[in-house]
Amino acid sequence: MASIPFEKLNINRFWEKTPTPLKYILIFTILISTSYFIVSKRIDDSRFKEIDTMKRGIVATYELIDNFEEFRKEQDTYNKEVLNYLKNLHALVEDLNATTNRKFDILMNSGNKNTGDIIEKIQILNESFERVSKVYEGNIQTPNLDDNKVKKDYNIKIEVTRQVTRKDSIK
Amino acid sequence: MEKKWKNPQSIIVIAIIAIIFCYIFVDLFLNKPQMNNDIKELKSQYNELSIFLDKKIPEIDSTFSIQSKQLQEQKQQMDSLELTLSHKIR
Repeated sequence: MASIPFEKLNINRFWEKTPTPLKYILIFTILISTSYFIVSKRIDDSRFKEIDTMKRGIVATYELIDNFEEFRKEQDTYNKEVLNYLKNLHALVEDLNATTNRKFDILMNSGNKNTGDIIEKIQILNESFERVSKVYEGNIQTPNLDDNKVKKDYNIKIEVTRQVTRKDSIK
Repeated sequence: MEKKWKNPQSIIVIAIIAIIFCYIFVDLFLNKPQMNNDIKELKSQYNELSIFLDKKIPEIDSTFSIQSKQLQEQKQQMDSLELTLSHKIR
């Protein structure tokens, strides 16, 4: 069995030969450095958390504005479509009313007249159907606001390099 | 007494103390400015955001007023349609 020469590395002898003021200075230095690193780590951690929260707040504000922009565009389009739809519907009601009156007039005036009148009636019917189809062609799409997500990258990076060096230094 | 301060043990202890203090100073004067840079960057980002918001908030206000006008117009159209329909049904 190989024996390690502990006598040469005797810590007691080493400590004995060190001057007493130096011993006190060493102990105080160790205490001061330990307390410094503990306090500064806590301060740094709280600062990092604060900075992180602020950065997240900035990104959230940009996201909110972006979502609002999307909402504004979709709501604007929707409102215009509704207005257009209502206008067309109004026009259709008026047209249908006029067409119905014309139909009644033609029916009353036609009597025994033949094909020409019948063709005209069919044409009037076709016009009505065309108008109906025009109005209902573009069905209004309600805005789907759930899918509005921000795709922009605002280049706000949360730096962790400092934290890593701090942890390493404590180890 | 002087001999005691110059022996190898004392030199090792002094070196340890010096290293610890050096490390504290390095941490104070080299690493702390990085934190200040982060704060400066954050401040500039906040300034950008406040400039952006100064532009955007009036736009948002105008958007709300435009949309309220559009809704009023829709209401008018619906009232008018309702009136027309009630006349025609009679």
